[in-house]
Amino acid sequence: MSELAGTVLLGAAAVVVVLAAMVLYRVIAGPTTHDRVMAVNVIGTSIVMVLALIAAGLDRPEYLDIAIVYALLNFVLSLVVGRFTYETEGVEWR
Amino acid sequence: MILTGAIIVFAAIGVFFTFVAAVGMLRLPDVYTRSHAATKADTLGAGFSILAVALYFGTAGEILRAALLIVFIYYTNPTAAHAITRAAYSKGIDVWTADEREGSS
Amino acid sequence: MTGGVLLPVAPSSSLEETVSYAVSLARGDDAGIHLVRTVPGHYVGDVATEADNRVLSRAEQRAREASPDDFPVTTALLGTDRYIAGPTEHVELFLEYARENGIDRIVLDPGYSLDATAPTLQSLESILEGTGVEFERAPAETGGWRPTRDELLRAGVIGVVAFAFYVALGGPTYSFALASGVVTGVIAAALLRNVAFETTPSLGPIAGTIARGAYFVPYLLWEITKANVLFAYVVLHPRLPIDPGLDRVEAAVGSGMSVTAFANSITLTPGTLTVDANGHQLLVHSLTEGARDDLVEGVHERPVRYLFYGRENADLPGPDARGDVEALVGPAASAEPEPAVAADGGIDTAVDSPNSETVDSPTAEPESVVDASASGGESDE
Repeated sequence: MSELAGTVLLGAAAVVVVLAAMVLYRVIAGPTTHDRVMAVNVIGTSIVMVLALIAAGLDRPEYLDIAIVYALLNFVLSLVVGRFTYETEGVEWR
Repeated sequence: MILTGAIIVFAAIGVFFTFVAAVGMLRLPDVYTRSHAATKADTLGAGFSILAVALYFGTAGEILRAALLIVFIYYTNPTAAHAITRAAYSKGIDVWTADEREGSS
Repeated sequence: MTGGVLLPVAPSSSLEETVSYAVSLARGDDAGIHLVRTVPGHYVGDVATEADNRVLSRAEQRAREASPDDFPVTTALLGTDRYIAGPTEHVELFLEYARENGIDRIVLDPGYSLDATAPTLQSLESILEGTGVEFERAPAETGGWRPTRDELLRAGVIGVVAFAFYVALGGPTYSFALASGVVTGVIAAALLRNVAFETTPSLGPIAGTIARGAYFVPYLLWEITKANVLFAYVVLHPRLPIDPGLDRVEAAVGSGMSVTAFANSITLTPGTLTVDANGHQLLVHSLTEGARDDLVEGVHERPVRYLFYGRENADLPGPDARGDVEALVGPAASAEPEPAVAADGGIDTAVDSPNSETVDSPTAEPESVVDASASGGESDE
């Protein structure tokens, strides 16, 4: 593939890294645990994007496997936090 | 070349929606509204970037893996956000309403 | 005496023995036996009911064999008029039926499971314990480790899918990698055969769902893109024009899979987000008022119903027209009735009532509403 496309994808990865750093503010500022976890989740998705983008930019297709594993781990993180901070009595359904 | 153009456009759209997600995370007032940013914009941004990556490789194995990645993200992101907002709601965190606008965040 | 024995019926290897036991118990009491089967989802159509009727008649036949001719055996399908999901709702149906028929005793089949997942007996028992109803577990053999035909089928499907995933990810080319893939697939199948599916997969419905998925997925992708453009506009707008609200919706979809698909498509499409789900009840947060209107009109529901139940079952009045929506927080809950919504069918939903503290709806008991709105509703005033 052309040099240009690879460079653009690497550049996109760099921008996404900067955006993830922006979201880091929400991790620090909170105000609640759930805000922080949500922000970490967003950063995780950004990292998956970055992994995929540099897989293309550096022509290292094996990074895609890492991206898949990272996406699943990211998901498990959110699920676990959501699960363990859930209060069964917190919501009345009927 | 058209393919290069398509890759650049998709990558740009992906970055744009990631930008929207980041801005949403910073600007929106409470955990529920922020999770809108985390699910919609972030998912679509990731989808478009990975689509660009798949186009770039253009080989069957990589396209398959990229497709798997997209499917995972589309399936897991809403679920993850749901798990978190659910926990937040069960903790009794208030839902921000338009009436509280004066206290901007 | 009123008496009688209630026996929830499910396809299990110990069903026959349990029925015999229940019959002997009921004869000792000089009372009849009631065989009941819970059926989730009345909008689903007749497909599910057929299998349920088969199980019931199998149990009934067994009961007739084990008892004298004049022994009263009653069978009933429960839950055909509502959606049920999760053990609690099943137990509620049992208790309701028991109350109506003056039954004071429940016998549980050791192999009983609500769906194709692992036996749910323990959770049923713990729920029943809290209700003070007399119940007991029939002393029947569960068949031990011998898998049933359904179990084998599910294990096979899981094994094949797991192996396909392995090949897709790793692309193994030499025999050791292939062999370890097969071993992994078998382990996954053995461990997950009673976890991964809610119903034993059968070819017809799955093929239909996949075929309709070819229509559903592009539609969903298009909706997601639209949602994002809208969302980008809202977020990047200098004044942040949002008007969030929270609603409780009773989804007109039955199984866990379709509820998941419904909840996720709500989350991904314009301005709505599923906050919590209990059975088929969903708490939906909406970012703008337009998004909420879409939701209550059933914009998200129809495609999902189309995907799982086919075209003829797709058309249904939206949640609002059915009276399955209840506003908890936000503009629809705190403001006076929305003319557009109130005019719709005249069903007494929460949106019709002037403020969120006195919300009362036919679909839910009032105290929960007060509690739910207490967490958010008071902050409106």
